[in-house]
Amino acid sequence: MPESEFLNVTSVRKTFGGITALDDVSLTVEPGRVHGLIGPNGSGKTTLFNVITGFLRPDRGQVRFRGQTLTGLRPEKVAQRGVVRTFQSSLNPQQMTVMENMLLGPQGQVGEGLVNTVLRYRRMREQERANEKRAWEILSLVKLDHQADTYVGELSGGQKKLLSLGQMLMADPQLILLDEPVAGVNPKLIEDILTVIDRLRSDGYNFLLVEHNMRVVRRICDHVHVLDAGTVLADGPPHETLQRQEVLEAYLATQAGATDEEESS
Amino acid sequence: MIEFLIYLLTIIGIWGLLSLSLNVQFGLAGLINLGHIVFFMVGGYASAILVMFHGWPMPLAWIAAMAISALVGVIMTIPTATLRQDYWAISSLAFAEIIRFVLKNTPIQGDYIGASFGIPDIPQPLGDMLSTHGFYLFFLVLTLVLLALTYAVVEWITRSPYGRVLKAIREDDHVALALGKNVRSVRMRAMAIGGAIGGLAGAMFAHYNAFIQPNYFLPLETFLIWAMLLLGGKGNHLGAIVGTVVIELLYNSTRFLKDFIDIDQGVLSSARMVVIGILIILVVLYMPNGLVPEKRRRYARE
Repeated sequence: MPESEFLNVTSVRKTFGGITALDDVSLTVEPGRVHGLIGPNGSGKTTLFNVITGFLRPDRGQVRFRGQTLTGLRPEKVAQRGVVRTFQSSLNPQQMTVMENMLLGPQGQVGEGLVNTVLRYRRMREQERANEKRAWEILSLVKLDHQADTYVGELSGGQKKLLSLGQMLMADPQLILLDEPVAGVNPKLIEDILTVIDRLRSDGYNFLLVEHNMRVVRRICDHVHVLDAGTVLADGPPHETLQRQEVLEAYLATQAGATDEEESS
Repeated sequence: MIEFLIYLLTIIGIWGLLSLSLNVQFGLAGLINLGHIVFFMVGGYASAILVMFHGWPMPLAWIAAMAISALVGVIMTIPTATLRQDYWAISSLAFAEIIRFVLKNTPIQGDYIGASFGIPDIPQPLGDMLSTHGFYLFFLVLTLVLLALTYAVVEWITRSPYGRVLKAIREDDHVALALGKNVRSVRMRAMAIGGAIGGLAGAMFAHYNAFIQPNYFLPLETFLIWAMLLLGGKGNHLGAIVGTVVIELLYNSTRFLKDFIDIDQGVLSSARMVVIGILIILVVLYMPNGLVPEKRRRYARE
């Protein structure tokens, strides 16, 4: 598939009342790479995530994935086309166990139709068994296999991030959007998360991630897009792009010192 | 005494259906339905009207009552698309009251049937073939069979992948949406299932009591169902039944208390609501998961 046919965001504009959150944003995500979306707080990163995944409808512009338009689709339809996302803070049901959360991921479960739980009982059982097997594999990858029966509410922040990632993998996605995958996570677990992402990249998964930790961005991203005040300020390979004068200024102007702080945390 | 026991068990059975149906909606799907009694009311009226004025056979009328109440449940989900949970809760309370007022002001036949007079002389199943005592015994057995059947159905739902999706939207929609679940349809089906079960309970009550009137279906009744569920344990069907038993025992105990304590009947019947209210406060504070907390499903690696 030509590169231009993977994820294309074209001239997206989104306003909330008088505030312009995204102003004519265009960017392209290519397959086989980890794309980073960075920028100061309030620059529109999460809004863009919401627009791509159908949680928000843009005022103008278009999102296309593999040649099909995503704009205007409801979030579940976007997910069904293989574009899944995690959330900045864990929104996972706390009163469900890790395994139950994992089993929410797979698409096309016949048992989610009530009548089918009876009419297609055997197919449902087969799917459940296969999904459980896959869930155990992914849980070992994200190092949560010993916590399968733990309620999500009892996990640490970092473990919740790993669970979200694992859960999205259960959906067999084509593009994974990670919203701050390591924010608030202890350094040891950050390394685990990065190792998982590295491994998944070599397995052919595609990522677009929002992250404030610049060390992590340099380490994991092949390409970064810098947003500032709702527009794309710069884009390119991380090492070169992050050195650019306008990028440094954008960060310094809006959150003096914040990047250093986060880097050292 | 034995008559009272049969009565009590039958009422527990019918209200057990109501707590099970609320458990599907609230305990599993997290829908704060404050108008749950509407299903009971609509089911009762639908079955009574179909049997008495349209000549439907009773079993068919009960099934129709379930279908109509399920439809009511589906209609109630429409505002969930735009309203936040807490606002929806208020709208559900209002919805039930609106239906009650409509029934209260709509004559059904002649001047004295329907409206605030209610519907008298609702036929009882096998009522003319059995003795009074025989009928009540028969109805108890019927109630317990239907309760057991419903219990099996809701337990089945809970363990199915559909039940898992219900629990996934209980606290928040976002993750379910991000995983491609059609949350609106999932919710609609939960309301339909709960509605159908509540409608069955209503039809049974109408034909058991042989009389219904709009004032049987006050918001207070919804809160009693909530009390049963919170006390017993939301999310656990056994808990819903346990809660029903405890609350009904409390509710009916005043009947005997008046023999021991010299106190006005009216005061006593108000006092029992106070007791139930205090009980709920204590449960919410000190036992938030109820008497029989939700089970944790464990998975074993093969």
